[in-house]
Amino acid sequence: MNALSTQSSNNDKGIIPKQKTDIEAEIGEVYDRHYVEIFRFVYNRVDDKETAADIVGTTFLKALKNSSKFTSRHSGALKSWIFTIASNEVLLHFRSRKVKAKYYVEMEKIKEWGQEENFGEDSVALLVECLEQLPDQDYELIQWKYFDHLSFADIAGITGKTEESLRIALFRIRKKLASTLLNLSKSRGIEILLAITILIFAF
Amino acid sequence: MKTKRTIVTNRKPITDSEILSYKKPFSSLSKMVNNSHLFSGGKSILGYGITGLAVVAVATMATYLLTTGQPESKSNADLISSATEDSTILIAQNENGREIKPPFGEIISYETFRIDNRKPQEIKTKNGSIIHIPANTFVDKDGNEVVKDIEIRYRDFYNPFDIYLAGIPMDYDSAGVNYSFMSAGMFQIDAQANGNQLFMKEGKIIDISLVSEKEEIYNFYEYDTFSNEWVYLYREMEENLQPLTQNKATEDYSYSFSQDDSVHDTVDYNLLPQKDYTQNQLIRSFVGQRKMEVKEPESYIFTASPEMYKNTEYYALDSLMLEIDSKENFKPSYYHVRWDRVELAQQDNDLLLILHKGRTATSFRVTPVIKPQDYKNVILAFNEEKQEQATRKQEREERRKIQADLQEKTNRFSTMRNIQIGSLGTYNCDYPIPQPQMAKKGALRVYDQNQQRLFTNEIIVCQPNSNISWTYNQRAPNAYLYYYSGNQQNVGWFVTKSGKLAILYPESFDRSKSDSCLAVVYDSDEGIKMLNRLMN
Repeated sequence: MNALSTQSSNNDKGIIPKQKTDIEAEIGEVYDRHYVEIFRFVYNRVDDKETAADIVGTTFLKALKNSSKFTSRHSGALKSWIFTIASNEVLLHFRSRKVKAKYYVEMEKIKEWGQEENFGEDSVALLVECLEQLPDQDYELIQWKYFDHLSFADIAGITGKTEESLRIALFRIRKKLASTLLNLSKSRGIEILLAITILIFAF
Repeated sequence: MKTKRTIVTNRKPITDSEILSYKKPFSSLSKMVNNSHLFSGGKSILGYGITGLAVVAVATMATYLLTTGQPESKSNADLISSATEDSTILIAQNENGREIKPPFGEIISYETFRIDNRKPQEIKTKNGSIIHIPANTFVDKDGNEVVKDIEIRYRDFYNPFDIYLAGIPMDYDSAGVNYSFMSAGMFQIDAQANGNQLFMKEGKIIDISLVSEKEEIYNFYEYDTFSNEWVYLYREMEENLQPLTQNKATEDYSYSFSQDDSVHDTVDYNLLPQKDYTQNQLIRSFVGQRKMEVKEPESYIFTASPEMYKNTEYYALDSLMLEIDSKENFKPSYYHVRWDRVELAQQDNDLLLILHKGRTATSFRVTPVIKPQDYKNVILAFNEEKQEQATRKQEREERRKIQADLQEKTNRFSTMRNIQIGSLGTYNCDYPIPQPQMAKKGALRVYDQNQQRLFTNEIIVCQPNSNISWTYNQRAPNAYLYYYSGNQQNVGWFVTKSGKLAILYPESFDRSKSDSCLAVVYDSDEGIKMLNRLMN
């Protein structure tokens, strides 16, 4: 279920704040409407709930602190801007601890992505291994789209890329992932679940 | 292989209510912000140092953008920064975008294809490009899938004048430098159902194999009709370019005409012979096509089994009676022969009954015996079939012509560029070229063949061989400054204030003086023909 897309509203799109109080009110609306999604977004990248809550709090504090500098004329930019700050906060969190990035993905979400009832744990493990080997920016796209359930519009806002180029990039990543999965399964002598390959190729 | 990250899949999911238990009132955050000293020390109250975050944020964005080449897409736009203390967001701001507006109306025609949205489709265009559309790709403005009556409109462009006629801007000015696109192939694709615009469903990708004259790697752009600017999508990869052999393109193209072409249309249908034999009784019929069942030997009328006449004009009838014309030659003993084969054949305007036995064959001219109403139905069916045959014949002629054109065009196209698009619109395989520094400077004033001064807003100059054009705006009121190549053939054109097409012929450039040059003015239709000749 794409929680973000279903809960997003036009109210946080097309905002062109002119007064500080206006934008503070708009940030407050994003806070109220999207706290859960932003929390999950952060929590998928950190070890515990308390850390996630701290990062989300810091994210909104920084948004408020810098609200006067937010001059974007793009629709939906405010929410994307806050996601960008949250993403940066997570990066800072890892960098300050000098640890390798870690992502928490629920098994059910991977199975859901697989759309395969008999998607066994072996298959999940194989797919996870492939995901762990993807280049950073490729994996981030997968994570944002399929595990964080961000819309293309939100991802476009975070990355500064167009939705069109993101769709194409994602298509190519999935093809690459399918190819890696196939090669890995062959090298291991594991009979690949055809469905996995198909799902990655298919839209 | 060394992993780049760790993915954990066995953590217990968190519920929404649990998340909300961490949510503080927003007013408490606002109060914290008002205590600005909390941020001035370089460490937030929540324990996360913000020093250096700017570096991280900018580096993150820059890494992402640089690895994908995105900055090139904004080279024609002002990049303004909305910087916070800790992060920077780059926003493209278009200042000089021009909307797509054909100067003389829609002259460059679209190819139209009717498709069924429920099945994957492969469309082959007249130039040999191939469009692969997955099933269930199109939705209406409300996101509902549309199944029937979908029309795909497609056109592609391979020379600057066609692009100009389509009204698609191919130039931009960046930091005072005039750039233009050198195209390796541009196309427009859209979809409609009953006149309503359709859209691609999110996540669907259309694969296009675009024929191209260029073999090099280019960038791929989409024209953003909202901001009226070209948006960089990606740089092509070598594996997405395939050499195009002449024969292959032609063969592939022929496969696109797979509709039933087996029905012969060599018969020149005329009106059927007509007799009203409604008073006659059915007296004989062929049994199993091989033997006549005799009822009234003297009437020479029999029924034909449907198998016999299924390939004649009478196929529309449930039953067909025939009367033998050449009665003097018909022997009653024929009724009792078990023939090897009995057939009806059309010969000019005659219908022949042919009876085969061993190596011998005996034929008799026969006349269909049809009830008036049946006759009307046959004529109706005939006319419809005749119309269909004529249509098929015309289609075949068009196909032959297209294939002949294609054969000629495949001499132009050397490469197939494999492209994926996620939305309908205008796309371009291009490379931005700055204005050549060593070009010659053109005239400031332009005169027509009658020595009358000409005025326009812009002049387009191109070198047909290099497939690139430059647009020059007025430098001062009614004064122009354009450049042209000193070692290639140049062609120029512009629309006059009175809406006519003025052409600067190659000779005009060679003979132009520093302050004036000659343009020949035509009515738009004639001018377009002249320029098409020059460009091709």
